[in-house]
Amino acid sequence: MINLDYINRYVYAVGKHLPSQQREDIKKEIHTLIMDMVDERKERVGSEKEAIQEVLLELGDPAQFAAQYHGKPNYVIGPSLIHSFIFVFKISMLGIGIGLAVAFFAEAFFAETFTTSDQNIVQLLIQYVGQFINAGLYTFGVVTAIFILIERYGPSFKETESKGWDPSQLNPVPKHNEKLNYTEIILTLLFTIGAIIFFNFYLFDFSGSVLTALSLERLQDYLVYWNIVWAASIVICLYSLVAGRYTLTSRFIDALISVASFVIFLFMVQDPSLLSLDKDSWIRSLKVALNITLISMGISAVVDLYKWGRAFKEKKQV
Amino acid sequence: MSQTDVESFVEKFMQEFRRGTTVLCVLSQLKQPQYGYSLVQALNTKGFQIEQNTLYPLLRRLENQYLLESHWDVNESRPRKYYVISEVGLRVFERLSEEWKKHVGVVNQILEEGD
Repeated sequence: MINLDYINRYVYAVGKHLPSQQREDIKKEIHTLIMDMVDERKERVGSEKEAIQEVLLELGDPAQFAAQYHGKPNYVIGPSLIHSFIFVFKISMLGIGIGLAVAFFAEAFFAETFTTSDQNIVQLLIQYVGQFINAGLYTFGVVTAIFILIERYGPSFKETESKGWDPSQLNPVPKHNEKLNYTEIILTLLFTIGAIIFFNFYLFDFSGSVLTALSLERLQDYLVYWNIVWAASIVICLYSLVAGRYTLTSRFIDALISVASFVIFLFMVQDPSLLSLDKDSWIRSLKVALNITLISMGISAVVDLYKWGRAFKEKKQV
Repeated sequence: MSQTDVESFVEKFMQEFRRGTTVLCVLSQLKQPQYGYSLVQALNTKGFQIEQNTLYPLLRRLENQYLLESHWDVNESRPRKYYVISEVGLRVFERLSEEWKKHVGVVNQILEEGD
């Protein structure tokens, strides 16, 4: 049953949500306000209890009353910071993705925990995808927390604040063939990292190699060139990601990388000291090559099926 | 669209409208010291609808911005916090009134031309 005590309850409830500095002062003020309002209604409504009920109802939810006293923003991350937030998050995830990719290949190729276990590579991959998602959640939390702090305690950024912007800073609109194909870039990054780790660290620990037709020492000589090519490839991928589009320069370097790869491979194929002509080792090598080709064709087929499926879906939507 | 829909649009925009003119009207009433409740009643009788849970926080904000000064009166049966416009507040108020009259003129002109 509503009575005078409820006024105290209301004032206390509002006070809970108030900034502690002015809390007592505000509570005193609100208490008097309610008493004044009750006095005024008492005559009209009849009973004090009904007056109290009416007044408290009119003043509304204590939490919302208190909210009006806050000058602080009522969003988590505001419009002026949200773009920076998204950018930082994306870059963090990219870094984490690269780090995990390196770890994945490292573990796949020479961690004893993996090579001696029953796990197959798909299971390991799934494990790493799980780690990536976990890292993603954790990163999201940390970045959000940091930006909340910046939002509340940092200097206030105006939404339209830009230091001396002028039209000459505008980037040209990306043409259709300049738009990035993210899948291609991510896959290139992953496979290049994998190749670097495999060929630089794993291959030469490989004893009883299947590829006995190959002279590993000679291969090492070529590795220098391949490393340069792969490093360039990674740099260009990252550059494209940051630039947000393909540029003439990036396409040129891509082409250069392809040509260089072809040239190196041409030399390798024609190098007698690289490939031995022993019949047995050739047969074994051929088997491996055929398997690799088979897997590549399988992947290619899946990709083409996917592309067809997507085109089909797009057509249906028209 | 029904008339009730129209009215709810109008109500929403009018809220913004009222919000925009609240500070001006509040400052205008505080040349003499008043406490929150008396101010609410004064404005309401003059036709300006404002609620206690809007006005009280506003008074505090204006005080924090040095546009108002306050003191507690503990002589009466209940302690009451009185607000009065400060010197800075008065100068701001005069400028706001000027700007308001100008703005009203501009808006009226635009509306007349629209007819």
